Amino acid sequence: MGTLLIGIITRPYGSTNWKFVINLAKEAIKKGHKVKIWCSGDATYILKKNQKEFARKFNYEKDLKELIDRGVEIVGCESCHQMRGISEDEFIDKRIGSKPITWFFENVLNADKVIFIGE
Amino acid sequence: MAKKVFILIKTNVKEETPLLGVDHAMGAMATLVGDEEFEAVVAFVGKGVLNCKKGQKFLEIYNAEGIEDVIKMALGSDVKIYACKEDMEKYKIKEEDLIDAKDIGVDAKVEAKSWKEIMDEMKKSDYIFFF
Repeated sequence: MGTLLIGIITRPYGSTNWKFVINLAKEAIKKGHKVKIWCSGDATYILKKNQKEFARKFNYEKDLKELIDRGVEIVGCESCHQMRGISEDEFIDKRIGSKPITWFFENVLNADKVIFIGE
Repeated sequence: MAKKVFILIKTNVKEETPLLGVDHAMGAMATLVGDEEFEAVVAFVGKGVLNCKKGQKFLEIYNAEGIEDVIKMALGSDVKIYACKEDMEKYKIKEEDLIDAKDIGVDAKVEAKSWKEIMDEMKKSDYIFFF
């Protein structure tokens, strides 16, 4: 089985890009692949805990927790989340990493497939 | 042999996305795993070519680093940066208007390339990221 690396810069809730990433990650895990997700720019907003759940609306906190529990490695760009006032203590889960851009490219070299979701 | 990362930026100046794209290109250039490394190419297309115009007064107006400064740093890090010729014509940008890195002591500049040349370069790349 392979490793899928997904990079994303899109803000959560502002588009359906994140839902696509989450569904793709779930399907990849189901097929036995390892998944890593790199969040950069406004995508780091998704890492913040206490996202309120509304009926018939997306709730990415719940989705991300599920992915983490199923072994997905999620990492936020450290300068991007710090710039947005999100500390690591405020992350949804302690297993979420905070790393520089070089982490992403080190993992690009090790991944079997890389997908990057821009604006 | 270095792996080639190609970053295509189509978003306009004053947005964060072009900065993120160029930052990722510099991040690629700074990454070394064993003997594996990257070479990075950034191409600005569509209204993204507006990012490549020199003489932006971002620091003066906003008191913050703008895309011009980041492009100069990237040129200084050996990132190749292209602006799409056809889109430059559309936005009335001449080759002499493109950013160079002379003032930071680097003999490199943003190069005007046709869409075909950009596509050819893209086809030779190992990774393509759209910003």
